[in-house]
Amino acid sequence: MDAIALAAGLVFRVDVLVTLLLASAFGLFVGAIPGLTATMAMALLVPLTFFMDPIPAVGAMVTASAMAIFAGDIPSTLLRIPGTPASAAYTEEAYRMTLKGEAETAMAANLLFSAFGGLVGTAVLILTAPYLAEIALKFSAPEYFWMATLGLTCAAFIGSGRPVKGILSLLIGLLVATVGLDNPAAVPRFTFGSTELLGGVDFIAAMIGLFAISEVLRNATQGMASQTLPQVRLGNPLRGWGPMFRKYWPQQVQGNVVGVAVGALPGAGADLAAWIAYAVSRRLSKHPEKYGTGNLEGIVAAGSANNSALGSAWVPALVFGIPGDTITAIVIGVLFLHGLNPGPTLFIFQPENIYAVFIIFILANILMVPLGYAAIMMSRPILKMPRRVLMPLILAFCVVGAFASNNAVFNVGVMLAFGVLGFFMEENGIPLAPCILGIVLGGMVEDNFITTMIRNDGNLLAFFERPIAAGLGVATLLIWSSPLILGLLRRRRAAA
Amino acid sequence: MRLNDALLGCILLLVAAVVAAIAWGFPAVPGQDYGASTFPLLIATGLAGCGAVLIGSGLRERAPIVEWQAWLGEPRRVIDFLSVITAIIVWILAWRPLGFILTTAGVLFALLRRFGVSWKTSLAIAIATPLIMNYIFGRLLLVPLPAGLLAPIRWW
Repeated sequence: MDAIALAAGLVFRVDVLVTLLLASAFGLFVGAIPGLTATMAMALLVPLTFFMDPIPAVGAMVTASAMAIFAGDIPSTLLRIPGTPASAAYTEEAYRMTLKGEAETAMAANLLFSAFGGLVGTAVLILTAPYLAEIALKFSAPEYFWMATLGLTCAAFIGSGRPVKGILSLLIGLLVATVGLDNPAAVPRFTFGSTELLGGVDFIAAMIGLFAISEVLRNATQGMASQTLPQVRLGNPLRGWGPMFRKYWPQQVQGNVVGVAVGALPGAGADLAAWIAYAVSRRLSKHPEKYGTGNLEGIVAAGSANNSALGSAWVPALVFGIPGDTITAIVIGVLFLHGLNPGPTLFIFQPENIYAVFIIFILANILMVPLGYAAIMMSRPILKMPRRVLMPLILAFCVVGAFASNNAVFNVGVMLAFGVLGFFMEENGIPLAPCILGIVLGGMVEDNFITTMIRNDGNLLAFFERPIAAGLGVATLLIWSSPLILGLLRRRRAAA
Repeated sequence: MRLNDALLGCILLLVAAVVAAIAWGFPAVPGQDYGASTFPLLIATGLAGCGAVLIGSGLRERAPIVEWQAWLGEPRRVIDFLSVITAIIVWILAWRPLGFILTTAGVLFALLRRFGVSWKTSLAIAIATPLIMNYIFGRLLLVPLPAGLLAPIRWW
């Protein structure tokens, strides 16, 4: 109990609270700009944390990342341009709600379930840190392979269209991921002599291209007609939250469970959690046909998942010093810098610091409600702005975003190429989302596949020999074969 | 431009063949059966499979080989479309020599005028936007935006 009192004393100080507020504003801003990710917000904070005490330093990172993940939903909902990759899973869904005039409802739901998901993730972090980390440590190459494949599978089958086009999009993404030197044999692949491509295709630039540039191009073909989308004014979003909770609690629980589980796995993180949660909620929904038409169910599930993953990603980071995602990877660096070496000893010798981090997590998710609400209100005029003014401005932000992701003009070219590709794909009914996930997870799938194959002399059964791997593998194979099984069942029923 | 599934399928078969041909040439890891070419070959197989399925469905569908959307018949829309692409290319080419502020101002002004925004508004937006962005990204977020021609009088 003393430790908790000590921790509260560490957190509830004016300088710490002001730092948290500033970090929140920073996180909201960075997350809302397409191309600037939550990870980038973390990276930009690192030099500032050198000058801070350990608790405000870690607190700033916790709050900024939570805000950035939520803020990514704002441009995603209003403009169909995901602010961070974690929002990409339900961008289409949220934008459709805007088209129906329900942008405020969508954003209010995002805010509510992001904050609540964050609190659930925090609760899990507090209660189960040691146990979850133990399971996560059992993961080896085959488990990672199946985990990533399961994520990809979900993405390919998410689209409401035909599975073959989803798979095609996924394969395009996987192919793009093979470009460069970063492969098991370290051989330059598909670089065509370009030095820039040796490092692979930057996926931030690719994402901006696929989603944002293709959207600007589509607007150009429609003559920048100012589609005035009449929006239902929500007024006070807090009022709608009661009914929303009652109606969507199953999706919220699904999202939280998936988010917490996926987030705790090293290397998976919030992006993957959102995709899997969206697919799971669609599979379990009573109205799967409504997905892709502007349905809150999917948004609730995925929005809950990405924020709860954020909390649980700290489990392996704090307990074993293994990052759950890129954000915690940066955080671990900062922890070391401040002498808070992650590991079991942190819990034994400096428990007040751990409790302080927990308190900051809770504070950050509560702060998210008023600050996020303000951000939603400030972003509303975007919809009223004429498209012919808005689109060139978006283009300028995209160019800077693509450039900023690793300070190379080459990336702007990558963005353009993917913009044209994305435009063409959409014209032909090929969904964009699986392609992005393919690019993100391609390396992980390949590495773990090749590692397992080499380790077991090409014995495919090795993928099923360990219990967790077998479970994940069977689940993945079931999803892949479901169209076939359903088709056979239908045929048999028709024959009977 | 909407391609018939059969045509799309044929393109995929071709892409799959090219990917496979290139992947075949990757050097093997000595003493290992699996290496740099394994995964690309699997992807090529998948692409070919998708291609085959699409050819099958395309032939049954009997849609036109290429469906041209209405906007392709309107010169204004086509120019709008191409001007977005040209704008990005100009950004890429002028990024270093002219610098971020001048390039962005020029491209924004041209685009805004092209889309029918008034002279005054276009000019105001084209001047204000790059300055604000330069401050936010260049100063606050430490993105190394090039100064270009403005380097001698760099004030930020």
